[in-house]
Amino acid sequence: MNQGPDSRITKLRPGGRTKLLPVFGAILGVAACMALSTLTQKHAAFNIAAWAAWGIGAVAAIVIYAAASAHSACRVGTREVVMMAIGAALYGILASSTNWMTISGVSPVSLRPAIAIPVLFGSLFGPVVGFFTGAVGNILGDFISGIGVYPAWDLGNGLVGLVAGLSIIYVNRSRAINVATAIAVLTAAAAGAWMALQSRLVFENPITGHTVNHHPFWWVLTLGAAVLIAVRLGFRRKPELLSPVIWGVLGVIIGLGFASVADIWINGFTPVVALVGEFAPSAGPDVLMIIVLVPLLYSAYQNAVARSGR
Amino acid sequence: MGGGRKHSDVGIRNRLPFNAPQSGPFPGAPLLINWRYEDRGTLVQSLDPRARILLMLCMLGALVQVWDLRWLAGLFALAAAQYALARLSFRETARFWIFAGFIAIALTVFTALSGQSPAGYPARSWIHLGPVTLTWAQLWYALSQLIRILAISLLAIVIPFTINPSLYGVTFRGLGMSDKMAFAMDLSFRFVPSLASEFAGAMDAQKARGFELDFGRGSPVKKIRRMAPLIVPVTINAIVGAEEMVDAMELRGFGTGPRTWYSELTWRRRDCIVLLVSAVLFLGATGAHIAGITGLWVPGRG
Repeated sequence: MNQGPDSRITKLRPGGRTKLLPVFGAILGVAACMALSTLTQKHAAFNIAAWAAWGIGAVAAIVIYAAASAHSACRVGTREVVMMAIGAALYGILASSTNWMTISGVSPVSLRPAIAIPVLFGSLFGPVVGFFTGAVGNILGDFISGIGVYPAWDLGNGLVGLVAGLSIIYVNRSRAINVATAIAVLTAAAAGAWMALQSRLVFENPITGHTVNHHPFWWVLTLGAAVLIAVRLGFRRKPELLSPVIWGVLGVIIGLGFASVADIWINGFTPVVALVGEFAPSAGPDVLMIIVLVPLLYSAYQNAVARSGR
Repeated sequence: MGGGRKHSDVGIRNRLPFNAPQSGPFPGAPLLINWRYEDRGTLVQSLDPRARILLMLCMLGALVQVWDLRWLAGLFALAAAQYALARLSFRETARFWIFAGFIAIALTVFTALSGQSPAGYPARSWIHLGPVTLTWAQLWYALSQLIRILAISLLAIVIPFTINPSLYGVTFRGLGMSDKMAFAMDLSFRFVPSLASEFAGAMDAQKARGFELDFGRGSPVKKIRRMAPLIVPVTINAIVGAEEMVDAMELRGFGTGPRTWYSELTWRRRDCIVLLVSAVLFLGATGAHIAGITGLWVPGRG
């Protein structure tokens, strides 16, 4: 019999282990090629930072996989396979319906109410389902809309679902919420404080050589941390609804942040263009969509499960 | 079935009523979903789908690393050649081209007007548009971006029209994915037309109850909540229906052992040639990028 969303944490049916190591190996190989190529460009200090960022990201991904893959939440059984397919198809269809609502002038970033789908599926069925829903769903949505394949954004959307799915590793919902909030708030506050202390934060576009001082934007991260704390306090009486929201917001920040930063090298944007032109207009509305739609979907799912008697 | 065999039927078509005008869920946005695979007997369709997907990925990897318009033109020509060999009619892909063209042109115009210009190039003016002055270097930068986006769109548009949906699972399995992941990919493509139909049906049912998606009124939160009567029923019905599918699959022993596939893909000489070309393109672009010769090219510099 199928279980409700909370009981599945301890009563998951056994499933196959997902082979992600070859995928991570491929990601490392691509990162190594890109890192090697950037080292030959001028302004080595910036390129070394880029190389370090790729390396840290790849190592972090492998560490997270090694730590979490043994958990039953990361097993892939029949239920997970079907939910992956349903989630990806749903996300692709709903995303393609709104892909025409572009909100950024620098890339086809669009309003996306459907971002609630990978967050929901991740928080209900686990990080593997969440990753598949986000990544493959974004591919399907872009296929349907005919705007091409953007691997960085596919991976970014996958990360949204993956991070949202990490919440089910915690049996205690309040602890899951507090962990996610702490990670997001501390990271944002630390980054904002570091930026504020720098008198000049000049980054150079690796393609055009155009330089911009990013110091004035330190307040954006600090404001983001304050918003997260407000959300945490606003939903404190309903931890079962707050957990997917908080982890989903964290997922959006990590996933879409990754995709936006990747465009610095892929599309030749400056960091401010990537963050202000892509990350802010995509992540901002997405956070609002998650806060409004995910609790509705989560409650509807719980009611449907209760009515079906499964 | 190998990549070169034709199917006895016309291929798998969707069963959705797309002859009638589409009442899309959002104003001005008709439902674009249309898996119109058709067995055309073209050279492109005779290739192994695995080789074609690897070619697409390698060309994407090459495009990402190249900014020199001379190199980009070559990659664009390859992508255009694939599109031409697929023999897709403009009528079939008109919607895709309108959408992709709009995005590409809007992005390029914005880039040109945003002031992004290669450092070190002479700021030779070319066009004055009121208060905006475009330099020669800005124009070439914007043109390079436009060609990149169009080349990426060309690569991706061909895939859903020319790969039999029944082969997606065995294709991804052949590319190294596990049985479960490959089957999930297969199911995803198969679910799209049926879920799209449910989505359209839910929209019509809600409209019959007086539901209107009006983005003009209310706060952002209210506008988002207005989408809930559309998104929630479709999502929950899909999940509940999936539970029955899970039971059916488990009753048939899914996941208890290695999966066999109805279709079989075999490599042929032409597929090996495609793989060789893919490797040359990607490795060549990577090597050229490492050597530093794929940067932005602006004619007349000096």
